[in-house]
Amino acid sequence: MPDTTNQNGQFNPLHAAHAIEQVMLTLQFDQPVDNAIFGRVREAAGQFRQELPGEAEIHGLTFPFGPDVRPPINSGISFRRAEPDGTVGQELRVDRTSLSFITTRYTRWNEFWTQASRYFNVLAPIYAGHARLAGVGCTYVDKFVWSGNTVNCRPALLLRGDSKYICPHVFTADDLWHSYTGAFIRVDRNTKRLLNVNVDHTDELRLGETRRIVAITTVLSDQLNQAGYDPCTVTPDTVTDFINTRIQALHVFSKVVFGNIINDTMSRRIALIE
Amino acid sequence: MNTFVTASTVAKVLLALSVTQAPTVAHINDPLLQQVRPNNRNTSRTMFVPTSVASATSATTVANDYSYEFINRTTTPQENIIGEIRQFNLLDANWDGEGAFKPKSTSIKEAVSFVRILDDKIAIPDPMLLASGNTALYWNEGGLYADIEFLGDGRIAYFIKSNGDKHKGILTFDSEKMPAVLQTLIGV
Repeated sequence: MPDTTNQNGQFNPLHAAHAIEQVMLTLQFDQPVDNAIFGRVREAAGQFRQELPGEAEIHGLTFPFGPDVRPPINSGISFRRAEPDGTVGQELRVDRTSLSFITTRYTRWNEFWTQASRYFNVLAPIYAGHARLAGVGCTYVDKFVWSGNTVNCRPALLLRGDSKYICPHVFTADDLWHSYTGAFIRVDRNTKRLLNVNVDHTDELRLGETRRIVAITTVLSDQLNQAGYDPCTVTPDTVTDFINTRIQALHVFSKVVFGNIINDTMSRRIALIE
Repeated sequence: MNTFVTASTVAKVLLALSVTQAPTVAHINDPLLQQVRPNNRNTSRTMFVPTSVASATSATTVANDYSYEFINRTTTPQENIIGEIRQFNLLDANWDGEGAFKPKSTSIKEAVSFVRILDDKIAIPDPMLLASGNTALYWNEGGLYADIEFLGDGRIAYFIKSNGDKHKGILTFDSEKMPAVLQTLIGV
């Protein structure tokens, strides 16, 4: 039988069908856009109110260290969709230097990217005319919940023992642990990719109860116009294609990384492999 | 002199912030640097970083207000069914002790696709694995009996008994659109 299970307990993907707790895509620009441009961004983002009706200003705080006291700065806006259970299902955050879209309702990549790209395709060209694209990021948080007596909990039932992304000593640890690692990868002449893999074997407090989990956060960010790399020019006309290519590539790479962290049995269970 | 710090700064997320916690030093553009770490202040990561990540120094995690809103959603009925179906992938041939075929991955995929496009308002079916290795779904309640077998080649075999009438047949399923026949007979 599967090696994710034993008679004393097993790990289960957070949402049965999959383990994805949240996914976030981010576009980062190298400098803040000014008030006029940000006004255009806000106006354009307003068209998404119907699907993301929860609207909130993101306020900045000022810390005065001298006589030049300025009023608080309005730095951005977020559009959210709340779900019937009261949780936030999706959020688009727009500020002067970045765009990000977060979902906790991930089902399939195509659906998720189709939705996110609609937002990015409208907003990114406005930024791109006034600031350089500095980075494209993709973050997955996957979570597996232990079912059974915690005394019997063994992350080795879930994780790949020879994974290059996990410190080997955790497999013999008697208690909870964190394993964080990261590296820069030279993808091409223009792209410095940062990979972070953070694995936490922890007890999580949820709705008043504690549960034992393994959470895997895979952070990928393609950083552009970095020292030692060739410049990368992205214009308003090319930014959407550029982003599409980059994010698709990050998605594919994140699956490879994730498949190198969890074992084959769990990979089949969540349909990462067949 | 004023220092501008914003809660949304953290939304620069894992591009900017991951750079600051990277194992080696990366160039951070000046304007970004100013916002991420204004005047040597450490920017809090807790609002946007998942709870478990935010607790790098603790082996016990506690949801903060923001992440609480995000992470404590319940698993949907569709996800539960898909989870059950995907567990068929773990079985080998003779899983029933009577010579059953190994579960067919293409049939499992089709069943998952079907559950994804089910109308939220209808009763959730129960999954079953057939000796043929095919996955099926069935309903049996309120005068309706229906079972749908996914043949793994883009076709569905169905048998439906409703209000004394019986219907059966084979139809194509493209994994994206609910067949009209089933919409009519089951209301899916």
